This record gives sequence, structure tokens and C-alpha cells, in this order.
Amino acid sequence: MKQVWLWTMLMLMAAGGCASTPAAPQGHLTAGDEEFAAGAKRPPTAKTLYALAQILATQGRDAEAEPALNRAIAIDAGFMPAYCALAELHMRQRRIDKAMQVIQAGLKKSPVEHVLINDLGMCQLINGNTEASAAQFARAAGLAPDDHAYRANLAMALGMLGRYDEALTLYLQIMTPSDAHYNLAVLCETRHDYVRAGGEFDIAKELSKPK
Amino acid sequence: MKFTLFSAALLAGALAILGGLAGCASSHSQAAVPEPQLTDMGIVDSINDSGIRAAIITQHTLYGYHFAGDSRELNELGQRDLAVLISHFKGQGGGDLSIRRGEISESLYASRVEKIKEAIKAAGVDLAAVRIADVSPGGAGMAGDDVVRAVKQSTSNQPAPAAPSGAGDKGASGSGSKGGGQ
Repeated sequence: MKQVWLWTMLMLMAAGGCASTPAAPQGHLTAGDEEFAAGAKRPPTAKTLYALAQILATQGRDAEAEPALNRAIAIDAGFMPAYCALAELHMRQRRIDKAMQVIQAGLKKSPVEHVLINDLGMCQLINGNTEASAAQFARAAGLAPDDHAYRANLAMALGMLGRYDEALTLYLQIMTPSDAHYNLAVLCETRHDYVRAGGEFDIAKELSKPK
Repeated sequence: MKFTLFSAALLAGALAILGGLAGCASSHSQAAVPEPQLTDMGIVDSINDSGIRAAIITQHTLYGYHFAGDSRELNELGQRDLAVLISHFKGQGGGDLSIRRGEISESLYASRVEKIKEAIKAAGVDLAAVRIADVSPGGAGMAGDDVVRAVKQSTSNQPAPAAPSGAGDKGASGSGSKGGGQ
């Protein structure tokens, strides 16, 4: 039923495109018209389905986005964004085990896909396997060393493990000292380390004062 | 572990949204990311973010998270960050490098130091000009750690390395103005 809806939507999108195109006099089709006509007959690509799923997901329609993403993967098993989006959809739905299955399947196709590696770390973190998650975040950060998010996630995992100095060092690489100390304070609070948290909040406050 | 799973999940979720998930749209590509050529003796310096580079140089410190588990081998991130430092050492003719011991055994720590020395040497940097120690990234004035003079003690003949400017607890510099991934 969901798939029928998706296909209907795709057809409507294609039909809408046709309707909005001014009718060309017969026998005077431009090259663009011919390309468009040819494209309308093609089945949706993985990229199209992925784009559709993204739209549905932003509308909160995960139940409809999921089959689109599954179909995208079935069409092109090497299309990594679909694995990522599907894993994240499962994570949103708190289906962590399913998310990890999708991630593992994606990593079989592309073992160095840092987004998936990061997401795997997120799943492990949510499952309480913080040590393992730190290793995944470090790997993602190594594969995409300019990506601040991976270093931030690694800092978070290390902070949760009580490795505060390492967490702070990473935060200081990617944000202002005030923000770095603030984030560390939040992590300390999460671990019920209120003494350290208070100290870090004080440092953050002090550093945020205009000089 | 004292923190609750709920709060961990909340934090993870918040960071995932702005971190990993945000990265999805911008970082994915149809083709698989090529496997970086990271080998022991062929470290590639591929960090382009100037803020991160500056912070790595200011901190000049390798931590436990730079190593693959409880081994002497650097992980990908460790190799990247060390590559930045090696580039810096080449440009400056040497410098300071801190390798934090943390809670690992003395023998593993010594093995890690040896491994790093090998990598630095292989990159063509004069080991005598690199002072390796186990100190906080705050540098001078934060003594208390066991100093490991793992390189030749001939630094007296070398130009004194620049004093660390400190990206330690007071976060003096190195982080730039960029927001993080959270």
C-alpha cells in the first residue's frame, strides 16, 4: 500500500512536470523536450527515491520514507546516502538494532564511509557501549579529519568515559574555549560529577566575559 | 558508569542531529570514499581546516584516543594529527611533542613512544630536534608528569623550540572561532 502511494506520488510529480511545460507545436520538439519525455518513461533512480524519502522524512512521514529507502538500496546497493538515511530513520524510531544492521550492510559495500561509521558509533553509544563508540568516532574523524562533528562526537564519548582532558582537547580544536568548557561541564553533569561540572561551568563563564 | 542511559541517549541524539546526521547530506557521495593511504612510514597530512591544524600544533599532544585500542599503533586520527605535527616540525626544524601515558602500562607506553619516534624519523625529521615528553598540552608550568626524554639528549645544541602557547585548561588559543560539531 505504501509502495503504491510512493509510486503514485512519483507519477504525480512527473505528471506535474509535464503539465507545467508549455506545449510545443507538434513537430517542433526541442532537445530538452525529448530528453524530458525520455526521462518520464524511466523508472525512478536510487537518487530520486532518496530525495523523495528525505522530503517525507522532513515531513515526519518516516513510515512512507522507509520503503522508498529500501527500494533505493535495492536499485543501487552502492548508494551510500540511502543506507545512512535508513539507519537514521531507524534510530529516530528507536530501532537501534535495525539501524545497526543497515549500517553494517552499508559498510560491507563501503568500509570507509565515515558517515556510516559515525552513525555506528552513535548506535553503540545509545546502547551503552561508549568505549566502542569512541573507537568508531575516532575512525570517522580519521577518515574525514576536517569534519568537526566527528571530533565533537569523539569528545563526547571520551567525556562520558571520564576522560575529560582528552575530551576538552578535542573540543578546543573545533570551538571557542568557553564553549569547550561548557560542553565538558555538561558531560561532567551527565556523569553526576557535579564538582568538576561546576568548575567547568565557572571557567566557561569566565572565558565568555568580554575582555 | 554513573550516567544514565536516558541522558546519554539524549545527549547522543542531540549531537547526532547536528553532527552525524547533518554530515550525511553534505558528506556522502555515490562512490565509496577512497581508502586513505595510511601506512606507518607514509603518513599523509590531509587536514586542511586551519583551525584544527592550529589547535593540533598548539596542543602538540597525542592521547590515548590517537591509538588503536590498547596497541602501540596509531589509528587513522592519530596518523592524521601526527602528520600535522610532523609538517610543523619540518617547517620549524623541530619542536615539542607530548605523548600522554594515561593509565596504560609502562612497557606499552614505551612501545608507543618508540613507534612515534620511528614515524617521525621516517618522515625525515631530525629526532634530536624533537623533544618528546608526557606533559599536559598546557606545556610549561604544568609539571608533575613523568618526563620521558625519549630522544637524543642533544637538544642543548638545538635551537630552543617555541614555548607552547597553551590550549590547556584555560583554553588560551588554538580553537579559532568556529563552532563545533554539536
